[in-house]
Amino acid sequence: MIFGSEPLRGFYEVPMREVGANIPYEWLIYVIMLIPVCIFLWGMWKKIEVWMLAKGESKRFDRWWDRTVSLIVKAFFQTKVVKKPLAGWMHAFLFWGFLLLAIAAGLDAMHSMIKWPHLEGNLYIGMSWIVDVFGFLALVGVLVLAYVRYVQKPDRLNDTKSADGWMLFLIFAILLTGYFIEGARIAAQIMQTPFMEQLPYEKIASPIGWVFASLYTSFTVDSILMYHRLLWWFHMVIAFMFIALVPYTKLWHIFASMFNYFFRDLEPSANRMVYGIEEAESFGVEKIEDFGWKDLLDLDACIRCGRCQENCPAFNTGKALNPKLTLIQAMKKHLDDKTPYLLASKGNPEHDAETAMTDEAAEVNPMEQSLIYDIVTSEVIWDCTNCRACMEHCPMYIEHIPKITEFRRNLVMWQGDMPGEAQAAFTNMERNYNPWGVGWAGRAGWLDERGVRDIVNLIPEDGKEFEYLLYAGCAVSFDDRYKRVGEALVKLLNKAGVSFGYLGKEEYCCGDSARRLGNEYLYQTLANQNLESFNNYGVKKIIVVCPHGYNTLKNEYPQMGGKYEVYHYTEILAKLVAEGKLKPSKSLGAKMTYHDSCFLGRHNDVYDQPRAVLRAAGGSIIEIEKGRNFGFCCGAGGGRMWLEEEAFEGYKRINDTRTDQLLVPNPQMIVTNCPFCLTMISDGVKGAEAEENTKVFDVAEVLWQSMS
Amino acid sequence: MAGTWVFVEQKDGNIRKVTFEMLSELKKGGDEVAAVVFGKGVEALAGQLAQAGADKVYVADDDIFAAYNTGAFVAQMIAMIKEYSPNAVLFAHSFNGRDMASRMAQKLELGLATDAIAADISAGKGIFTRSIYAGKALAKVEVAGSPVLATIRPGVWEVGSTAGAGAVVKAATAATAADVYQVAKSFVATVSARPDLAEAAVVVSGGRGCKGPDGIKLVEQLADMLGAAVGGSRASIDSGWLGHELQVGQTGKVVLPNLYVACGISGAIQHLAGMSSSKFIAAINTDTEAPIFNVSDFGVVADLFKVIPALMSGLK
Repeated sequence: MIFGSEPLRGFYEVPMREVGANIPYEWLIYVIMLIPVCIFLWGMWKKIEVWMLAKGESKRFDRWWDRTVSLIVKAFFQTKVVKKPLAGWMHAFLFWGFLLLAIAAGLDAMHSMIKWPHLEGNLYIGMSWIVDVFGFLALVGVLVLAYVRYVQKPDRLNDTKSADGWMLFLIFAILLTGYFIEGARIAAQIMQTPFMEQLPYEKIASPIGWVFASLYTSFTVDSILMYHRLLWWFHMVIAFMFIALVPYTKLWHIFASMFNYFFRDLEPSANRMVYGIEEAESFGVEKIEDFGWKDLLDLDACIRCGRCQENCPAFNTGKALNPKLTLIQAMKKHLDDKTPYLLASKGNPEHDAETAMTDEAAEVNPMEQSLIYDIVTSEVIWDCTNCRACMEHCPMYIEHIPKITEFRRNLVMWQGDMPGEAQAAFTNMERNYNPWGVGWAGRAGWLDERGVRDIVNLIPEDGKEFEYLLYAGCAVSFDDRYKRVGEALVKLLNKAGVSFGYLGKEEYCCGDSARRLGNEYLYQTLANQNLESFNNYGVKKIIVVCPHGYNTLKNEYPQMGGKYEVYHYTEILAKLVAEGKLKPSKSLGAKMTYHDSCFLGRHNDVYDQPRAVLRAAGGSIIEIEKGRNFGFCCGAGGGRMWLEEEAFEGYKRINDTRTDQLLVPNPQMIVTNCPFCLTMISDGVKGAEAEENTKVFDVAEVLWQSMS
Repeated sequence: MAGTWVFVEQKDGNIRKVTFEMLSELKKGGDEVAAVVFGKGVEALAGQLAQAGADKVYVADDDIFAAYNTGAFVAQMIAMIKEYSPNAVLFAHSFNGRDMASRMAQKLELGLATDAIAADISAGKGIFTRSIYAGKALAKVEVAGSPVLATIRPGVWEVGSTAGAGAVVKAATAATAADVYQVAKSFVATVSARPDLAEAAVVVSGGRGCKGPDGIKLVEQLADMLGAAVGGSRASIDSGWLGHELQVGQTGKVVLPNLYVACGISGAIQHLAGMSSSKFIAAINTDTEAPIFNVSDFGVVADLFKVIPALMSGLK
């Protein structure tokens, strides 16, 4: 017997696990463990210190219950991670296996030290089995993840670093040595037991360990005990290394993700409100530390999985914006570079300049780099279509769009630096309350033009009672093509006997484009004008035609006190069809592809109602690969409708790219639900010279066609 | 008080038409009209300016003014205003004019009327007419201060024949190198013999209906016959048939020619936003339903490949 160690025994009366046996100075481990734990805590404090540098506000301390549920479901059940089938499930295996092994190791230690919990008998067998199997799945997970990264090499993992490989190797080594140790223990126990039949529980309790034990059959007991001892210490050293490395490497995402699940944005999809804009002394974000702490936390949470870039319309058409690399990771690197300077100058603003000047070692001084010009660049900032694909698919709930909007706010309202076309659209919205700049007084003119004046209650003139306000929006009012959609919709509502009214020239642009292009001031002006009109006429329920207006009225006006029941017209039509108030008289039987607009789909999760309406009209919808929440943007969101788009070498424009996807099944119709999408896709169809075979319609038009 | 000043707009050493328009119109009023010209070797321009109606020509001749430079030009103008105290200083509502006028207003803490189409100037006060709501209404704005500052929309006034004395006054160079904070390194011009799209009296535009470079060639031939500028809808620009700078519409140029000929353009609202204010619109399109016919004064429902050649032989 070696001093300080319990001998490894051959068998026990009740099934249980040996802890610490055969390990001299086993108690030392609990002392040594303090080192990695301290390193871990120090690193964690350094991270928190960085988050505390944030000057902006993040209000995320409400709804504790929802946040706790979010944390448990998303982190421990990995529900968001597994959305990417192969890599997601493998990550879940790895996570569960590693977590269970860590818990089991802790429980084993407790069992041996304080005799609680009593891990004996069937409890031991059951727990050991679960942990053994999940540990094995984790081992499989690591190998498959390595296969994905190094053999499959999907484009989304286009920034593999050597540390990525080392982390996989470290985890693999911890898991594998664990099984070798378990195998050695079982092998030694088998050899030492006088009665073989007293050990069969280990075969059930540790099926994988049992297999590893068979590797030692040709060894002597002494050499097994020696290997056991050596491997045990090695295993502990690398496990402690893991703990110590967490806050300093990508492993930090284990904790950053939990924070992010807890503090994620639980509100409906909306831009952040700027309160007291009249008194504001600066706008948007110019420096990284101007963000709120949640935005800085987001940067820590990014694990570079690339699900954002996979679905990004800008990145997929060769633009500068890559939500992973040129947005989040660029910001993260800048924050890392800048942190020492910021920490050094904390509470001493003049220190900034001094530190900046004296540090000649740094090639580029991060204090002098401009976040919006040198780090993220204005191309990246203007490339975004706010389609929300990145946010939808990010397993960490990183908030990309609000960051882009903050940058744009700074560029527009502070630097005065924006594309000329944006300036023109702003001027039009300011003067004529619509982005095209058509005279505002003619806003209700489409009623006469389309011959529907007599079936529409024009509230300021007719003043009758109405249940719903029809918020027609700028496109129905001024775009000749979209006026037809307005016509179809009011005819449908009229036919179904819906009581609705329309504000005509007392309706104004919703302000979506202005807000998403960064002109918050103009947005608030327009929103206030609308709210005044709505309140003036006692509006309670609103049907909105354009999904951009829908999202703005539903999710953003409440920030300014405008709380109404807001519906997209497809929701109303689906309801009327279901209730039998609208009965199509003929089945169109047309083969069609349906384009999910981003603001109806991803921003508001309305996927089924428009499809139900189309099916009722007798449309046979062919679902395309990039449909529903994987829908590819038409290119006009986020105010990009009003900006020029350049086609890059080897790529088509976003709308042409999207149109090609929609044209694959060679449909008779492409159906949209948004005026911007209708314009962009119609252009795409004309460009593809497919207009002979494929017509582009809006949902309302299709239903009306089946009724008349 | 010494008259109304017109800042002379130059392009490649030539005086732009808007300057002559402004001199001629202001000459109709009673006040002394003076042209203010900055540049290198620009004294020779005085004759032309007098011809258009300038009673006086203030010349600041220096290397520093060789090319337009915001800082130097503003500093020089402020110095000259202090020395000669004019009643009013008017600029063209052009890129440079807007740049200078807004800075002058800020530095002198004065009001500024922009994009005016009529002016009524008296000492210490100017009443200007501006077009608002995309041309649907006119607003009269009064600018107080000395001098009165305004920018004038090009193309609204006519060049007259009443000449002025054109007495040359050489102004001392007040701008220093310290005022120069931007230097134009080089200009890369897109070469075109046709008139500038934004200023042309006639514009012929081609759209998707041109189907390719051959159709655009027809449009260009027609434009050359009419002495017109060539423009295009987004479709023809995106397809690469025409240069980006020739786009007419929401995201391109806004034009207001006397005659706008739309060939193979359906007239989506994005295009209408850039040309619907034209005085006379003619459209050629095969689609009877095309929205362009809603805004056109004269429309032909036919193939442009037949109509344009017929039109050209008629013009010959």
